[in-house]
Amino acid sequence: MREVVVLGGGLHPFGRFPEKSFVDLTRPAIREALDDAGVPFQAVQIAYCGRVNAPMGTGLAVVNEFGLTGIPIVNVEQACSSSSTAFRQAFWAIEQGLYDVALVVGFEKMERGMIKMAAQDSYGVQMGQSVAPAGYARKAQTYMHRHGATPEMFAQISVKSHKNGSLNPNAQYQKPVTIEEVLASRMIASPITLLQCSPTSDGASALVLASAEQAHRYSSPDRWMTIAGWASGTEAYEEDPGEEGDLEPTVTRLSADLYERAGIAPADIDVVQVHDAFTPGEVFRLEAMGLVSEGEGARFVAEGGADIDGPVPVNTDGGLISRGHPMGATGAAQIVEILRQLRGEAGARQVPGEPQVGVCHNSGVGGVNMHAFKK
Amino acid sequence: MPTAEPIDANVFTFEADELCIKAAECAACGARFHPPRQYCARCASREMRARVADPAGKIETFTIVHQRPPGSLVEPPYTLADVQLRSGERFSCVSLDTAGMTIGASVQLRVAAFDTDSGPRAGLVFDLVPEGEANA
Ligand SMILES: [Zn+2]
Repeated sequence: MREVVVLGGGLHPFGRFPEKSFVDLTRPAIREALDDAGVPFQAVQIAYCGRVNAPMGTGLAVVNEFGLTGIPIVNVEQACSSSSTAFRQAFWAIEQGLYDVALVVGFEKMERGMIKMAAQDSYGVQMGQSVAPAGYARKAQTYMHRHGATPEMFAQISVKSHKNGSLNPNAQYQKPVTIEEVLASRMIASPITLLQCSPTSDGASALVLASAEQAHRYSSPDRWMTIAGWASGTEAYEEDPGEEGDLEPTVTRLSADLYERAGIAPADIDVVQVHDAFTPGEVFRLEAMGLVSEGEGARFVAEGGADIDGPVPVNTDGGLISRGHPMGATGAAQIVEILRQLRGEAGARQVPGEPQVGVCHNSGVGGVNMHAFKK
Repeated sequence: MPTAEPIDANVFTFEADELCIKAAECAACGARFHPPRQYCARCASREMRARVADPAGKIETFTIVHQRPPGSLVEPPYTLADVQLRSGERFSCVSLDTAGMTIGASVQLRVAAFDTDSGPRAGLVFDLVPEGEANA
């Protein structure tokens, strides 16, 4: 199998842009990614588009905006993990030797308010069970019960995310918040308050991938990052987990796959993006990924362990909470951030010490995708 | 006692006015599910037996929901819990109460009526069983 590299990335800022069309959002993101990669659009051989709420076939419109070259264009709907799935498909296509240059696009426009997760006439929806933050909230209650963690520790994660977002010109929220503001914001599902929820957002992200053999035609290796490993899956049936059960069994299982494929250990990872739709998610995922020991994650993050200059920098761009979460665009945006960090181009939010290895975790109703990258 | 027609008769029914919580047991591996499944999530067997679940159980974990999610008939604040029944089924269920919720607390299922566009309909909810009254 062939080595595959990420050549370039681009974003449309995340936020609320009700006046903009999908093409208005994707045009600058794709243009930035192509220019960043040094790849002319005519060289793109296949495109994969992650999107959730767009009308059918919208991926064709956003890619064809750059020219009608007749390439295959694939629409991927995988809820919050749509564009990391699109990325994985593009990676596989190149790795297997089917194509040499691929474009990945993620885009979304969302309504305000809690997202709908199931058919509106289903029993669970009518009975108040389809609550976006409730899965995270219930795990957070279990976590506090087991480990003596406090709501303040989870709230501190939002403070960290907003601080990082304030350093990111593409973030939806670029204003720091205090822990008092986070705790005083409206309770949504205990212990999660409004400022611990990712917002609904509009935005777009794009990446250009190539085989290492062909990448030399477009740019120099110091601008690439290699896709070192991947892992994907959905929740498996779990035996009654009992009082000690794993809070993130899927991430635990996939992390082992990822590290084996990438030939890395948790201690090798210099920068991390995790899916923090709600603050407690950051803690559960860091523990499942083996980056901090079980039961220590909330305290670790609250005490600065996941800060940009901490031992395990996490969600350096503000994460879903502060960068924003336009569902279809999030997965690829995480990868754009890792590219910026590994190149040393992250500006005010640059992780010190020339990070060499980055990992992304993107998840949701559509399952979990994890990728590892090496400079 | 039935108060209204069930929102979904696949979840529970009333048999001779008694609450009947519908469940399924895998004939191959014994795993139990509520609401009932056609095929087994544990071993993928297609042979499932219908059964009735025990309305008593305990809270595995919970959250208090303060914002009404889209499409919900339940007035916030309410409790949304992962419940494990004594007969083995594990599922999500709401309580109309919020006070005194704790992990491991004993609960009892009942039906409650909710107003819908087509008149009152019944859904399953749980109540905490006061300490000392839980028959193990
Ligand atoms: Zn079975």
